Amino acid sequence: MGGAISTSTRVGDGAERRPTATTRSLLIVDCGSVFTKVALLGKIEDRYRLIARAQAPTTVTPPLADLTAGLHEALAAIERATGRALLRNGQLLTPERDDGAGVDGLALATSVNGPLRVLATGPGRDALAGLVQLSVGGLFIQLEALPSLPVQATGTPEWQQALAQLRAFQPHALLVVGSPFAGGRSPGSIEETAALSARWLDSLGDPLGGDEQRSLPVIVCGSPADASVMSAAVQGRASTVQAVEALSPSTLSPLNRAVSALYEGAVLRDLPNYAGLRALSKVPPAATITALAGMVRYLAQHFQTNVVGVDVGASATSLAGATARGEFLPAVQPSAGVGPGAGAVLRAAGAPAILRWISGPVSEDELREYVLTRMLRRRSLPATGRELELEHALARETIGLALRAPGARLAGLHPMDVVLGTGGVLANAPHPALAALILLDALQPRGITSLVLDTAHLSGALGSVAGLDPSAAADVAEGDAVLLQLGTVVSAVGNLPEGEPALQAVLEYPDGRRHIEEVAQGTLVRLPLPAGEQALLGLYPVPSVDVGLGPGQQARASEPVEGGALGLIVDARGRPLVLPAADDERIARLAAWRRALGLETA
Amino acid sequence: MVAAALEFPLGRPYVPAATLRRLRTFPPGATTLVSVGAQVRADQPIAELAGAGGAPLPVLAGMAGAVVGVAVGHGVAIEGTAAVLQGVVGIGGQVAGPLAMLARGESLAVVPIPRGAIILFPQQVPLMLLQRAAAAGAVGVVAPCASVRELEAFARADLSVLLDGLPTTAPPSPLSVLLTEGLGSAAMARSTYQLLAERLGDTVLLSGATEPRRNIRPEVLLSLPAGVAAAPIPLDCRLTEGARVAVATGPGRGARGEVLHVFARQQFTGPGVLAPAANIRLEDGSQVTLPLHALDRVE
Repeated sequence: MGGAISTSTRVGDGAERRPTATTRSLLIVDCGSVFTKVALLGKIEDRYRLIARAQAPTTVTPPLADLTAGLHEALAAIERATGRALLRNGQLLTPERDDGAGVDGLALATSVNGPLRVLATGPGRDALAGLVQLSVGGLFIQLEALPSLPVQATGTPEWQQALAQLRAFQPHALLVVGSPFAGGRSPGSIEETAALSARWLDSLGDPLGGDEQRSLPVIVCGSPADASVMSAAVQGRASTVQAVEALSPSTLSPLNRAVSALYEGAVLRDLPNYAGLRALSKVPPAATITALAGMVRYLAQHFQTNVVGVDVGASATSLAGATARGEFLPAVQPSAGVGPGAGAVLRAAGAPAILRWISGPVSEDELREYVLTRMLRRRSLPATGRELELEHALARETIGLALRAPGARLAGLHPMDVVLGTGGVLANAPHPALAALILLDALQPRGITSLVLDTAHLSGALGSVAGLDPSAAADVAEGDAVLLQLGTVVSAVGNLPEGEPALQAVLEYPDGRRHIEEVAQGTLVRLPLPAGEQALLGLYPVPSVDVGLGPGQQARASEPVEGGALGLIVDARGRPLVLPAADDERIARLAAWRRALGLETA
Repeated sequence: MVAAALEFPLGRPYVPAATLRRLRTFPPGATTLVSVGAQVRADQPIAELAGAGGAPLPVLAGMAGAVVGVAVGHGVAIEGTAAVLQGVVGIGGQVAGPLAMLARGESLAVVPIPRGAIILFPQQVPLMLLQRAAAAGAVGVVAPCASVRELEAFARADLSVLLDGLPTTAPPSPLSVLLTEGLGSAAMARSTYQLLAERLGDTVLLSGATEPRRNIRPEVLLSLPAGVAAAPIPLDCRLTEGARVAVATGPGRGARGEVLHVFARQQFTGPGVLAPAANIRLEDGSQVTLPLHALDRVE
């Protein structure tokens, strides 16, 4: 018999109680690019509980160009559902009144208006790229290299073309990474960087080039000498110049803080009535990915396990991994999603990659029309089964793009003990198996994984509440049915011909019953283990198949595994997951996998 | 849930009368002919370009109203009252010209195309017509829809790149196009066709610019005489009982009806997705439950 495996990870169990806070009620607001989600949390018997939640379209563009309009609609929906007054004359009632009206605080997470877009340059940009990513990982940021054209190229067609691309990027800031070798040689010098940066800032600030050009803030991450040279060169061209300590493995925080501090001012401040929204909260807003990262880190620390959060949004896709050892592994695609971001997915992944997930004949034209329509009607949702399949295919590919994004560090994480899916496309999936298939197909975990679905669509916002009351997120995650246990997944990896026996899975129930399932290579199998039930799991792979302990290593759980909405899933489809090239065979395979998880197929 | 149709920046796809300010941009090298304070007609030249043979090429105002600003060599800001038709998607920049229809009964391959005109074509516009219109010197086309493949072939660009506002190596579109219903196949709403057909021969201002992230839609401005009462914009876009709506996406696209009831709770729609929804009585008398996101308020 092989080693023992722990399969008892279950979000929502065994939490230690934390000291109570003085707040009695909190509103958490997740202001997304398309929808604004609001949840009311209240203290009941000294623990926070989810009282109500609602969502409304985010109203950041005409005809209702006022961020608070959508929020007020969502708050009004909560008022109707609870009978509790939250607004008076359009103002949030705070603190909570003795009659129960109002709330004590509001925490805000947002992804509206996209990421902080930063141009990166400097002699250390390429050499220190890894450290830059480590420093800003987990922030809602999109880094783009400032073109390395010589100063003499100013005004040339090549320069104008690069300028057009930079303007389309709509940068919020310039990051200069100083020389990685203090006083030593490096490709390019800070003086060259300074001269070039000054030219680019001049060009970008030229009001004839666009209707909303403005001077950018500059962050210089390097030595005091680097900062001095840059300051002199960009004075009068940059709105501000901030010097931060040079990057090293032990000095990642200064750059992180400097970039974080820019987010609100550069990305959010000019949004319609952002001031009205901001005035509702005493703590600064967090980017949704940052808030999700906080939630994932908390879960990983609390349960001493590897946790991956997956947020597939309309405009952005964010993955946040945290390990039991405290590592943080982000993977973000800030402009790719299943709504307005669908065009970016189509361009980056390509139509064949998306269409391979569709269990029927769909032309590339049909896909393109669907994607463009999603871009044109930001709030639209799938209207037919075919459109739902297209949306889920886009979700798979956008998760894949995030895993492969520059700076992403999540792809190699094994095992993914807990995968938490959130975001509209996952949370609103008509059947939990659809969400499970998206997560399994895109992440392709190995070994044993617990799949959890945030049906309340609150994970991101819950992370943002830590600034007001750290216990709130824990209480709600543990105490309320906001997280749906989809089930435990055993992903067996082996190089066998399709249809060959891969492993035997045995469930031993508390009443003595046993369920034995022979699992063949290339298949997906669902074993009966309903939510709320437990069983002991035994896994007996053939010698070349690995269930997480090494090829051929058998495993018997030391603790019972938890059931879930989908029971226990054995995924023996192989890693990497490869779909048959022939359409008929591919479609048949997809249909078989859907049937295995209880989905009807046409 | 905001029971409102939010897809059109002015609240509805058609605004009968609104007071608007638009920057009428010039091609590089144009000479401005008007100054601040001048009253201009829609068909009045406000700038001119040097033509190939030396004869000046006029730049029409496209919109009647008062000149409220002049950016030398760049454009003229005009404020006036106009009926506004907003489309779902378009390509190309701002153009002005008389609204015209093609002669009936003639093959699209040979039908005469009026130079400088904006062509009203009430069916799905084929690539061949777009190419012929551009070659013949028409400046714009207003149609209900086009296939993605043909529109991209005409624009020589990936439409998703254009909608995301990314730079493209494609040349500027020689023709501005506005699609009133969107991509794919759909008939032009009867009311839309009628209001445009009533203005045949009038000079109109067409912009194909489409930026979904900023909810910028293509538009046609149909100038109105001074003194016409303008409605405050945006128009009421709430989906309340009695509101007239059009089905914009999904099965039933193009149908029109009236909101009977907006559900307080989300309803299962289409493929089992929960969404805010309303009960609609369609013009054929049938009643359906439709998601709010599929509806545009039209009256």
